[in-house]
Amino acid sequence: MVISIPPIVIYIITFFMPLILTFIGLPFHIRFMLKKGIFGVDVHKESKPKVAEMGGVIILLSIILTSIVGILLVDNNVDRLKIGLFCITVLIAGIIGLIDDIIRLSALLKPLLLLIASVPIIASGMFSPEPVLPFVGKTRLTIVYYVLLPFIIAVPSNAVNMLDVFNGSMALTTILVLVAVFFANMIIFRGGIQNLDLTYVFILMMIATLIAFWFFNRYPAKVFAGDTGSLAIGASLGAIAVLGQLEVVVIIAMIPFIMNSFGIISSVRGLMERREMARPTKMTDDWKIQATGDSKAPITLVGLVIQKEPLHEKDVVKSFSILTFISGIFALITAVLIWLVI
Amino acid sequence: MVGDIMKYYKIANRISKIIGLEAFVFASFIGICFLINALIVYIPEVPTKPGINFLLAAVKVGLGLLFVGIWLIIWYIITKRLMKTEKKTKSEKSSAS
Repeated sequence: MVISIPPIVIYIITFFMPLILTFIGLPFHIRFMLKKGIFGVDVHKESKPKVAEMGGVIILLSIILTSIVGILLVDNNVDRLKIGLFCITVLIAGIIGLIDDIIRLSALLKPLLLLIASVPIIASGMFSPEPVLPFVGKTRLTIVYYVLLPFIIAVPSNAVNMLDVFNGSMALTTILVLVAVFFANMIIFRGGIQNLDLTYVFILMMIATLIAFWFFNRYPAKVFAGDTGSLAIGASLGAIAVLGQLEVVVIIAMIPFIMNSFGIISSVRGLMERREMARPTKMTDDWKIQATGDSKAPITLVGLVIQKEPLHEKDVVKSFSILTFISGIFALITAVLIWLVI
Repeated sequence: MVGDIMKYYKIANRISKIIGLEAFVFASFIGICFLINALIVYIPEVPTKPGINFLLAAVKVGLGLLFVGIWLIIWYIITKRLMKTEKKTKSEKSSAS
C-alpha cells in the first residue's frame, strides 16, 4: 500500500530541512575553512577580516539532501523525476562553481560549461516549450525553445554570480526574487498550497537555504558563497523558471540582476573576468564605496547606485533590495497579465 | 522600525533614476509583448505548404528578435546616458565648490 503524504507536510519538510541543515552546517564549514586557510579578505572593511570561502558547498549539500527526502516523500514517478532534475541541474552548476573556486575558469569557459547544466532537463523532455507572454498567451517556440533552454539556466546563474559582490547582497536579493515568483505562481496557476505543486517545493527549499545562509553572510559576513553558491542558486532560479513554466516572471523579477550583467557585458563588449576589468569602485577614507570614475570600468549596478555620492556597503545592499523589491512587484503585475490570457 | 523605513525611503530617493530605468525595462518589455500580439500573431499559418509555413514562422521569430534587439540597444543607450549625466552633475558640483 502506498502512503500518500499530505502536500502541506511535504512543504513543511522541504522548508525546514534545508533551513536547519544550512544553519547547522555553516558554523562547522566556517571553522573548517578558516583552519585550512581557505578564506577571502573582505576588502570593503577597514580591518580587512578573513572570511571563510565556498559557503555554497553547504547550500549545495542542503539542496541535495532535501531533494533526496523530497523524492522519497512524493508518490509518483513524474514528481520524483522533476525533483531529481532540479537537484542535478543545481548540482552541475554548483560543481562548475566549485571548480572555478579552486582553479579559476576563464570568463568564456565558465558560461560555456554552465550550458551543460540544462542537459538533464533537455534530455528528460520535462518542460513545455510554450512560454506564456503577457497579451500574447502561449507561444509555440518548439525548436527555438531548445536553443534558448541552455541560456535560461546559464544566464540567471551568471547574473546571480555577478551581483554577489557585497555582504548579504546575493542572498537577500535572491530571496526577494523567490518570494515574488512564489506569489506569481499562485496567481498564474490559481493554485493554493492544498495541492502538491513542485514549484512551491523548489521555491521553499531555496528560500529556506538562503535565509539560513544570509544569517552568516549578512554584514559583517562570516562566510562567502563563492561561485559554488552563486552559480548553484542562479541555476536553481533557471530550473524553477523552466520546470514551473514561469520563464517570463523569473526574467522580470530578476531585472536588477539582468541590468547589472547587461551593463557589464555591453560596456566591456564581451565576457571578462572580474580581475581583468578596471575596478568600478574604490573605498573612501571613511570606508564608504565610491566610483573610481575610470572610463574603462564596466557599467555595474553598484556603479549606478553610488554615482551621486559614496555609500556604505550596507546602504548599497539596501539599494539592491529596493530595486529587487520593485522588480518583484513588476513580476506580480506580469503574472496578472499572464493570468488574463491563459 | 520607523527609522529603518525612513532610511529605505532616503535610499529609494537617491536611486530614483535607476528605479526609473528599471520601470522603463519592464514597461518596454510589456510594450514589446503588446506589439507582438498586435503584429506578429496576425501573420498567417499555411499548414498545407510546409515550406512557406516555415518561412512565415522564421519571419515571426525574426521580428520578435528585432524588437528585442531594439529594446536592448535603447536600454544600453539610456544606461550609458545615465552614467554620463551623473558624472556631469558630479563634476559640476565639485567645480562649484
